[in-house]
Amino acid sequence: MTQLSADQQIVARLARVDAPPAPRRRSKALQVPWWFLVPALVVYTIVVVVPDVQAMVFAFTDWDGLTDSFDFVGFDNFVAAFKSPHALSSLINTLMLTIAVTVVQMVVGLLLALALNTPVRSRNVLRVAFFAPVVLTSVAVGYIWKYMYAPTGALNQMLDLVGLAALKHDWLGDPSVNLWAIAFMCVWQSAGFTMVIFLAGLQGVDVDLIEAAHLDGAGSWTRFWYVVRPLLAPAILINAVLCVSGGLKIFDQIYITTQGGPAHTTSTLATLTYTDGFVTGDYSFGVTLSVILTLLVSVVTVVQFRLMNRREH
Amino acid sequence: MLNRYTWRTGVLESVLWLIAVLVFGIPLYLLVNVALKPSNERGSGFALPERIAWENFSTAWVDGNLPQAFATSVLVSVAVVILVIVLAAMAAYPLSRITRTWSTAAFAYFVAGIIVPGGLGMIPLYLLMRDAGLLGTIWPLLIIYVGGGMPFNILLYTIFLRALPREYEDAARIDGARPMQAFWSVVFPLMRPVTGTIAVLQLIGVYNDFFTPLLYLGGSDYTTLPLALKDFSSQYFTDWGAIFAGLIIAMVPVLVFYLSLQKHIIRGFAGGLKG
Repeated sequence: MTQLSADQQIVARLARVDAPPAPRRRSKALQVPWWFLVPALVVYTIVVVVPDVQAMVFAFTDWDGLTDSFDFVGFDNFVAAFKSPHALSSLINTLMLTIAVTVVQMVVGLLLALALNTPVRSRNVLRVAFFAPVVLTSVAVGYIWKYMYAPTGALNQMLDLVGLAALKHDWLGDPSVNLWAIAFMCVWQSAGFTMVIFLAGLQGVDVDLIEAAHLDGAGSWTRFWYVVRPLLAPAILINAVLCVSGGLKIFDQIYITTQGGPAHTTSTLATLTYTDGFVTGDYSFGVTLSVILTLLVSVVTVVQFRLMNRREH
Repeated sequence: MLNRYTWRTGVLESVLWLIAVLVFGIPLYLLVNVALKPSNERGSGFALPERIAWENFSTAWVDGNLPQAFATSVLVSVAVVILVIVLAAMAAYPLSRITRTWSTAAFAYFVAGIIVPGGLGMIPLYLLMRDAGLLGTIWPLLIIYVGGGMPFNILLYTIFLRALPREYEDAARIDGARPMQAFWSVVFPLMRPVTGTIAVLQLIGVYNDFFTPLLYLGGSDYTTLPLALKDFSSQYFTDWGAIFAGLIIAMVPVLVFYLSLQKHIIRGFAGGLKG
């Protein structure tokens, strides 16, 4: 900065009273170093952008992951993927698991959030308890539920105890229930997360609005549906997007409990990509599956945003 | 009037506690109880052990390779947190302060990484690491967590910095600070709320991650806690005592961390996502 004389300073100060502040001059000393973003740019490009682009290209080639040469083969890989014995059933399992997890987790998370948004005295303790499984590794959660679900495990013992022996199952082995057992385990782990986001959304809801609706004679369901729900729309959207994108990618819990078995009845696109892509080394099949999964996640997310926008207008 | 504690609130409170005990209390009880049972005591996991089997913990600790797993997990988690914070905070600075076309484009380039689901490039990435000879080392973990963490964390920092007045850093520069100095001693300390959120989310995320170590450390000498726990099922086929003792050893640090900072952690998860 150039040194101003005392007179100039006084003049400048007086001038500032009336005149609007002059646009600030950007001297060289005020430069922001552009190269600050270079390290992040480099590591992000290598780890995320390049492999993503490669995957999208390789899915349309006969590349085998070992040599550098490849030819473009159009949609052959996708046709072959859907002809393979397990890809279609894995896709269906992925969708069913995702729908079950999303619906149940949204409902449970919302009910817990609404319940803890009341004057319940122990709401802080309960919130901490319900959220706790979120911070655990899903490997631990998988083991705990593998133990609970075993044929002679804790769940069947409890059913015996309360006289509901008819409901006993081999929870992870019986194809009619094992996918739902896995869905329940995933909800058990993550419902607290959904709850916390709904609680944050509920804090933005003006209590006076609800009181006013109450005075006008609105019942609790009407108050929820017409007053609270529209104000919760952003939280509903965030939770729906997170549940769906998380649900489509569930891997750890399945790997620990069933590894996709028995006979691929709990196999999903994520577990199939691992077992058939990595373990057996069929990289082009694996790449094709991950492109399919990505398309699925993207399409569903875009649709969710569209639906939400339309409702708001 | 809706905020008074009535008999209905009392009923609701009881129901919530019933759910908490049934759904979380029972698995927790079984976890601790079975971990303390000798392996020769068969029968229900609900029955209290006749003798407390502390040896389950030493079996898990020694045979399960947990000391090494612990060291690796802590080393990787801490290194990733520091690297992510330094790189993301630095990148966000020009992205939020320079309003040129190239910086807007660079910001969009980073944010695109949030929109494209992770996992798309995992096979090409794996082959890249294989060709670089890094399989079985912790380098792929560090590089992948740091690179993959950039989009979201740069977004958080940039949003925060855009709302932060420039006056502080301008004053520092007028006082003669160099850009590096102005950033680290003035701007970076002001970003502490975001830094805290990022540290919590990254620490828990990396410590708990299973898939990346499975791919890059599977079958090697190195292991992380989730990966070491996975290997328990092949080592001790039905020795649930040792498995549950191992789970407890791995869970206690993260639970202590969670319970001592629960307000910040829960707010971090909720706020980080609203960001």
